[in-house]
Amino acid sequence: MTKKLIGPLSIGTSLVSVGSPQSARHELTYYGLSNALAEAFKELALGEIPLLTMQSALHAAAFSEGTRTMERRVSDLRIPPSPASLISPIGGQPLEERLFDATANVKILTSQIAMHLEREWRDKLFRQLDSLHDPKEWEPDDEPIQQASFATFLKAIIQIKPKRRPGLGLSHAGYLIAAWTDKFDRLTIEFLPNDRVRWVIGRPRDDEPEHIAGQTRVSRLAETLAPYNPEIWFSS
Amino acid sequence: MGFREISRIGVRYVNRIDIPVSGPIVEHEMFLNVYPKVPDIFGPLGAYAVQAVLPIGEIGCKLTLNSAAVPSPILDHASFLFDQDIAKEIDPPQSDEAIYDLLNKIRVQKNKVFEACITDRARELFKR
Repeated sequence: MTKKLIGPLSIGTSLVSVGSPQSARHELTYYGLSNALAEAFKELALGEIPLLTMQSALHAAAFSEGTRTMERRVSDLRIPPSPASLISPIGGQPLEERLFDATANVKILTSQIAMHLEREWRDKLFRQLDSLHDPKEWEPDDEPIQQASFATFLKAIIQIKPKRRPGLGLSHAGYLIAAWTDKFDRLTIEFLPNDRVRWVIGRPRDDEPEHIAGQTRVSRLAETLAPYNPEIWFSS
Repeated sequence: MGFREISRIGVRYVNRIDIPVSGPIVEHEMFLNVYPKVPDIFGPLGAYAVQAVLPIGEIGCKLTLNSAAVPSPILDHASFLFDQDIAKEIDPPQSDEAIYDLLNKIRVQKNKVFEACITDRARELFKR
């Protein structure tokens, strides 16, 4: 009977039984608990105490002072979560808030390498990002821009230093897509997390469109594109 | 009603220095004057973090200096953090005027510390 009653409080129970005769201690716990339960439920039913107070009353009745001290010490030993890990879940946020947070996060990321980008370039980039995340045109199932994708984009842009700005888009998963077009030649790069990029070149050959695609690390992007004369897209 | 006494006034300045990588090794001591010294037999450092705490007697503050190698956010660069925390913990000013006066003095000291801790090669990087 005792076990049934104190089952949900198993952690406390095991602390109570440390260094004392099991049966006597359980008996004591049982009577303490049942009295506390009766009192707490009576007052709770009458609306006189909130649930938290009831839990405190139960806790005080069920465990001895020594046990509570021991529990406090164990509790103090727990390492609190790092402030950096306290990331608020965005799943339940309103759409406008999610979009704002996503764009704010990537703008903050940009600020960390701002010294490598011209002011004008940065301003235009921010306007493009805001435009991409316009709540009025947002499809609810789409993901806003992913920070990891944007970090890859920044690395590529600072290395390639294109004179011409790309058109920007977002994949369904929130990966940034940049496109450069020169007449009928088109280069599209999708920036993936973990420094990966996927690119597609489309250009006419003998009056037929030809497509070449590849996937590589962002550090190899310039080298991989070199055989395709990328200056036609990147130079002004 | 009353005011709570101010027990600490501190300012934190965190700088990241991105150094272009041209070879397998970046000699951080060519750019910073704060770095760890390890025996030569260990070879080049993979990463490092150093902290120094020292008084700035002129303004009665404590300087906590942190410097560390950090992953670079851009390609072909090695990055180092140079982090200054300058704080007055003993007898901090309590009035607005005295607080702003202290903050201005801290800013001047921060610049002095930074200039003392970087080399001319680092200064060249900032001119680009």
